[in-house]
Amino acid sequence: MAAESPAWIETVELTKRYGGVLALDGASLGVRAGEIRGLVGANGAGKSTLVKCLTGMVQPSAGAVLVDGRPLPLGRPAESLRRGIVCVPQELTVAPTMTVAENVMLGHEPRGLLGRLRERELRRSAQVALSSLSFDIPVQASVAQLPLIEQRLVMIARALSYGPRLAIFDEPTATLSPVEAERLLESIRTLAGRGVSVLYVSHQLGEVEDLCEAVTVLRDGRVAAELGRGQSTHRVLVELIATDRAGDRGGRAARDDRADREVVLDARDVSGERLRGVSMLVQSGEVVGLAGLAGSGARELLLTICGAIPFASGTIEVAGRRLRSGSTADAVAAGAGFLPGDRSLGTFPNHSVRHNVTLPALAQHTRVFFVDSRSERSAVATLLARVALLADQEQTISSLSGGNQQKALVARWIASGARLLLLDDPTAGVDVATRPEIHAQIESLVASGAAILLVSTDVDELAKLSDRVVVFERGSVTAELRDVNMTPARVLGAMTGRMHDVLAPT
Amino acid sequence: MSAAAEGGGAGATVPLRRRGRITPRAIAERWSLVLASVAAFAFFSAARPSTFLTLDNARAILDDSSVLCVLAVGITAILVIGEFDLSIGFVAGLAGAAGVSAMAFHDLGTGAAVAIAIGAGAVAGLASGLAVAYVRIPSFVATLAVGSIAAAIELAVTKTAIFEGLSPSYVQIATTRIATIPLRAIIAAGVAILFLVLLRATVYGRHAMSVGDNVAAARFAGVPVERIRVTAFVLAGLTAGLAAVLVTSSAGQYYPNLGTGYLLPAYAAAFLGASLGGGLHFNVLGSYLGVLLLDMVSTGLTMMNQPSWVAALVQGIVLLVAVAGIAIRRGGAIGR
Repeated sequence: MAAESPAWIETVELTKRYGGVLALDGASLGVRAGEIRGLVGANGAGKSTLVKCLTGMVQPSAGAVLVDGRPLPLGRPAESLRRGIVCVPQELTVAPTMTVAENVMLGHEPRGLLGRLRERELRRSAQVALSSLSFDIPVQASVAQLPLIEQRLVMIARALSYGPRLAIFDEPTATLSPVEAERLLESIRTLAGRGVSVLYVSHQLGEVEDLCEAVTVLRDGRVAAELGRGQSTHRVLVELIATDRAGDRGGRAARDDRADREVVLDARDVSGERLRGVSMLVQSGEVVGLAGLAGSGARELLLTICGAIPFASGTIEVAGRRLRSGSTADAVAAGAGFLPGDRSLGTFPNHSVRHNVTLPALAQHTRVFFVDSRSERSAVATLLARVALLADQEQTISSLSGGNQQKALVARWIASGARLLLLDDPTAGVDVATRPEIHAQIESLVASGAAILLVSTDVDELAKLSDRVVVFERGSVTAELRDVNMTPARVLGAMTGRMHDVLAPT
Repeated sequence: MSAAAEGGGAGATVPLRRRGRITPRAIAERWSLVLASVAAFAFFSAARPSTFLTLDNARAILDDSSVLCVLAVGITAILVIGEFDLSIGFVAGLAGAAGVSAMAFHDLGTGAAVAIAIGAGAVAGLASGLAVAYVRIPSFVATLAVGSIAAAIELAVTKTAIFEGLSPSYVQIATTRIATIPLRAIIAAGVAILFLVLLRATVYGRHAMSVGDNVAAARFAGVPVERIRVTAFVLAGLTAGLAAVLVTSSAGQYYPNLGTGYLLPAYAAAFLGASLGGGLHFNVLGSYLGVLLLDMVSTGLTMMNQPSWVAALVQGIVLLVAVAGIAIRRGGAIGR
């Protein structure tokens, strides 16, 4: 091995505090020129905060970033960019009707006199950035016509067009097929070969193991481990990211197998844009976790059942009622309730708690044509007491905390008598202290006979709440974990695609 | 733990009632429209006590503003669901032509003429609604197109002629007074009350407001978003048809493009009305009051012998001030 060159960019004891929560707690790491460094950790471990500190999007509470030994002015995106730090975000942010060249050079187009766009220079610069990825994409094509991978490459080329020294990739292979992902990784290797440092942030532990020379594992805002090549095997990474504690007993305490259980969800051979023949049977009183990386089909199945995404073939029955493809009204009428962590999909921000709670159940409070607000009020009072939400029902819902808004949504689906609850990362926007309360609500819903499908990016949550966890990859179910196999580390292992590493011998 | 205190563990927080904060500023923001109306009334009454401050003038203002009231209330149903309708003026023109020509050329009675006018408005509204809800054309564009087509049909049929020969009972719609109050004013108030109750106290109203507030959440909650949208446009079309009846009965004739002048004042009134309650929410009562304020300003200024451009200037400034005050405080997002 060549002599280790020293790190040219370092973070020193970076700390970021959001209110009472430490998102980053003294994280120090250094990256050498041409190094591909992996950055892994569970959700909330501090990965994205660290990245944002580097790119200047976030001002750290304490600590420093050193570039060539000199401190980088923090919290100033333009300064980070000037020192050669760029980030390729996870989301596609391309302007589809514009050409590849225009997209690559977006925001720093070469200008001539009086702001004239220098077209030839624009195309040439875009071509240079693209060819450094060793991909051949016509710079004059409009981006909308390109396959997904090439759209992603356009975004990477945009970052490279700034001539970076450090390129940060955030989950770049999400929603790509394995072949495409491999092509993308090859481009990243080429990049590093030219001396650009790479910080590779990903949940795809298999890729991290193959690609990265060293891996930094974050946990609770701290650097939990730094592993060199050969040390960072999939198994080691899984265990460092999601530590199974002694208390993890593999899922919830077994409930009595009551005879009166009935099938609430019967999905057969459902296929759609991102689903390939998925079948699933869920009974009342059961919590089924759906695990999978972005684009794997776990969340897509949830959205398909609640009617937000259409399906092309197969059948979905909720409580014996067959659902039409892409009809949310159908799903709600059959007794499915969607409970998102993303509040922009759940609440009516300018409406009162009362209106938010009763919307799907208004028919219960309607006489002839009019809403009987007295009956509505007393019902809401009972519901709020049941979900332990201490708030005035006439209060605007957006003045409540995230956790309390979530409780109001739980109350909404209790009110409508939903039989199947579709939980989409239900604690995503909820502070640590309120999480257990939401979990308790979920438990009480199950106890009252509801069936629950739970999608979560938090493997601890999946393992803790589920009776069984169904694992998705590329639109299909690839595994089902239950009992002793259903620990956070095993769920993570299965999600990230190395089953044999993690399953306990049976 | 401070996270609990901040994030609001249920046990820790008994949130403040937003309605409970009573500061002079909050009152001024909430009631600015009413305060402005009272101020305008007091100003013109003081300036022209013998002409402005009379029962006759009050009747005249209510009667004059009835057309605009009906239209403003109708578009409020559209604004509440977060859409726009630019067609109402043209649709009123078409409806007027349909109703009056039915009476003048086909000897139909007053009742039939009114029904045809209102029905024509509803059909145009249905066309806009279907285009917006199911074809997913942005309402701004869809209603511009429907309005243009409505105007074309109107002019093709009427050949830009003026129709007279209205039956006496039709003209009586504009001349009748009940307990000294003009019938047109009663009709306008009745429509406002109907829409007020519809949007406030029915399932439709609750659904419509949820669509306007967060359409994604409304869908996930099972609200039939498409049907709500179509209904809103049909409602606005109905009011455009009714407005045409009020215009033609008062004029005693049909004249081309009778509705086009009402579009902008109707929106001005609805936006003025949205300031009622301090939150920039479109509401029927606000739209109604907004129309009265605008009409009072123009009547008062005319009585003070000001040229008509002064009235337009003052109305524009009133609208800017009313909406800007709240927009600045809320950081934008009109109508949300």
